[in-house]
Amino acid sequence: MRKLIFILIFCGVNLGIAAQDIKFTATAPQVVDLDKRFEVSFTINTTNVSDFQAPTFRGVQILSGPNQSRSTSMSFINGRQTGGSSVTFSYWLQPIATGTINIAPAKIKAGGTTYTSNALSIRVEQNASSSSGRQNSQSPQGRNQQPTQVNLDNKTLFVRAIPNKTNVVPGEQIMLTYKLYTLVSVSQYQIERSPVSKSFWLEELDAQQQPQITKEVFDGRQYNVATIRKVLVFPQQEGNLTIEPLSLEVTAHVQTKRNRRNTGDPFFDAFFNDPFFSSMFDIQDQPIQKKLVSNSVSINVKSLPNTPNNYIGAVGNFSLSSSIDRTECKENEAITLKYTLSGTGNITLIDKLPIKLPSDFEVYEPTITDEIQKSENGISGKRTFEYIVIPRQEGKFVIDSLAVSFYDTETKQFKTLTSSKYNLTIGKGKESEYMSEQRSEREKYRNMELLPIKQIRNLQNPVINPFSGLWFWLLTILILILSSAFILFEYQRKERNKDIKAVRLRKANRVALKRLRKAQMLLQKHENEAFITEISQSVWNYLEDRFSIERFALSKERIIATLTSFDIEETLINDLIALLERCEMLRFSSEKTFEQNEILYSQALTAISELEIQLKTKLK
Amino acid sequence: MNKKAFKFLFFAFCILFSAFSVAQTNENLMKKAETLYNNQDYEQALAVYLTLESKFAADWKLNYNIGNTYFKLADFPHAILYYERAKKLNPCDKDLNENLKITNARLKGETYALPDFFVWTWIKTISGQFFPKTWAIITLFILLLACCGFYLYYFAKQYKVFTFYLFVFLSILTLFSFSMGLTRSYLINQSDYAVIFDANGIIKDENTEQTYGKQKNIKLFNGEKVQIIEKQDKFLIIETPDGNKVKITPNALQII
Repeated sequence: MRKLIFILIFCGVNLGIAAQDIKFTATAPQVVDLDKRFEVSFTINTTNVSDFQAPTFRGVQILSGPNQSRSTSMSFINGRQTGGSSVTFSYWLQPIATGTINIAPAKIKAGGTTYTSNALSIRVEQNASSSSGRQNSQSPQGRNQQPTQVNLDNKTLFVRAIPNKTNVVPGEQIMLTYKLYTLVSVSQYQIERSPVSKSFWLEELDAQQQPQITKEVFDGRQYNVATIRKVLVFPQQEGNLTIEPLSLEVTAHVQTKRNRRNTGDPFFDAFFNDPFFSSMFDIQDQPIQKKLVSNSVSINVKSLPNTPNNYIGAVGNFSLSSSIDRTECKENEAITLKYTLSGTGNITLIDKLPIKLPSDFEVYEPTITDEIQKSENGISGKRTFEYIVIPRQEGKFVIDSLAVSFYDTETKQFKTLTSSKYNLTIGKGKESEYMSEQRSEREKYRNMELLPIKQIRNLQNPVINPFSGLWFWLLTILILILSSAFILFEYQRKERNKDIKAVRLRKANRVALKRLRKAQMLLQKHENEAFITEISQSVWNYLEDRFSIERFALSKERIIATLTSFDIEETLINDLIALLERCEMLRFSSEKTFEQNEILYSQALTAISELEIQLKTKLK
Repeated sequence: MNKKAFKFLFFAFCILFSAFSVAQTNENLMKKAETLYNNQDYEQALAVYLTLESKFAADWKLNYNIGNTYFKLADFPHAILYYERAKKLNPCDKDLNENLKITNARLKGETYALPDFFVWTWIKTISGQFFPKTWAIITLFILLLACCGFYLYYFAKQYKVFTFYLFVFLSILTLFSFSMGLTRSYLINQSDYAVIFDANGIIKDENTEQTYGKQKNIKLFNGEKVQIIEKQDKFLIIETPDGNKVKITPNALQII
């Protein structure tokens, strides 16, 4: 039994490993307090990640972030190593107003696949911490031990903001260091609100996890000093500017005598109230939370004298290089033109270069790639502007050297950077009709507005291949079978009808044969005179019997009238009359041949049988 | 007419067989996304649309809307990807083709597509008029008519020649609509086209140049639609619309 459980657990663990797939999750408290900061973190359970794309945070102020941290958990179960590692990107955010904050999913690439996190919805309330059990990860002392609010002296614990210079020009970087001065031990601090202003651009330097403690003498006292934050400040305006103070919440530890509660147990109390123990246990390390506010920093931003026309706003020390991928090509072929600005200074604030191209060239918005390092010496690195240029005309062209100026903070004067000049030879391209057509179409659509989204009434995945579906072939077979069955049925019915006709025809023939039997005998005996009389007589007799007309009333007119009243076809009536007339004529004629008589006989035969058939159908 | 009948049938089936509540939540999500889009909150709208896409990847209108949302977020390559996916499912929608052209005009790069052989263009246009299922129904309907034509011809006393040709014509029409439907479902099923997302993913390789001819300075750009010629584990060979063939890493593109 124990073995079985062991195996089950073992299998379970294995399954757990096998089923582990990459998850990218966003976490944040559901409810936050309006004046408390909170953390939003995006965690992915793999370490091989790249291209973290944070969502745009709306309705909040970003205090810090993205702070990247990696964690690895490992455990050994039955000699097998399990566990995983994860990467977390976290942000500290400060709500601006009550309401709901929606945080869109973040994106990350891991192993070639892009993962999207879940979206978050956070409610901001006026006093959330009292109404709901919010987890405040920043106060590890928690609710069990209520920190006592003791006012620590402003000279015991304070924060200073120290700029490395106060007289600058717009765009010049200032290193602002926030230092925490303390005489007591501090276990924790949290930046509550950092200054934000339109007149400054701030670049946060990556904060160290554990600030190093140094000793420093200030106002005649020796303090423990921790550098808690370093910011690069780039003023964007001229004049006297003030950087707002930074506010900070600190957990300090003050050693106080414990005010012991009696437990009620005389032995226990007596034991611990013993002077020996009291010296060991009564001095208690008491955490105290305190809000600190730094000094504000005022900075004098001087205006730059005589700014040149090609000044791009760069302040620092820079160099410019350029490259082109080819100088000879054909019309409408793309040329890549690269300008790289490298150096130290406000490089990230430069987003365009004043390039000038011949008018027959089309240029797209540049693609900007950065290789930037942030350090205590400021921002340095390089920014590459990649322009895709398309010549539209053949000929020889010159891309003039680009001249841009920057303000050198060392020498305190403007310097001009120039790039290389390029001579281009553009050959006649293979311009076909379809090319110019496509180009004019592109031109037409370039600045058009997008058409609106579609209203979807019901989402559906359409059947992609109905021809491999059973229903299609079933219906096809059904249609074919039904049609053939129908045709077969119709065919058989016709056949049956044909049979009836044949019977009728036989009957009619019999009648006619009976009537003309004597005439046939006479025909074979070559008795012409008698034959013709007999034919005529037989037809008359037949008509007399068939229509029950008295012999004396019988005449051609009467016959025609009677037959018409029976709806007999006119041709047949005419044939019959013609036959009678012919008999009459032949009776008095001298030339009588056997062949003629034979024709006469067959005519009479068909006339009677035909009449018989028609009468049968009509009388029905 | 036939399309409407089919829609009606489908709707009836939906009511009968699908979980009504699930449809309801999807509808709510759709409305939410629409509202977010109209309020210009494109990121949120995109998130909602993408959750819907995981279930209804073959709904062309959804793909169209995602394309629009990406466009508004200025992510043109993704917009192209989703418009092309929508176009694969419904190639003849006017708005869709218009938006695709607008997006193409905003890409950072251009290519001149060699025109297709005109017969192939016709076939694509005609087959694109209906969904495969509609083609299947049309095929069955014309087959029925052809059977009637045969009946008429077989039992006709007069107009025997006319009814014979009518029957032949209807038979050919049946085969035609069947092959159109097959073409349509082939075009939807195939995954030969892709959109470039990393224009620098070209692998320089002598062998490829030998096979496909040496072409200097082939440039790709993000959002370009290319055809996949050869698929391998570690690389792909693609053909750009203007007829150049390049070796590329599989990560550099996404299949439409």
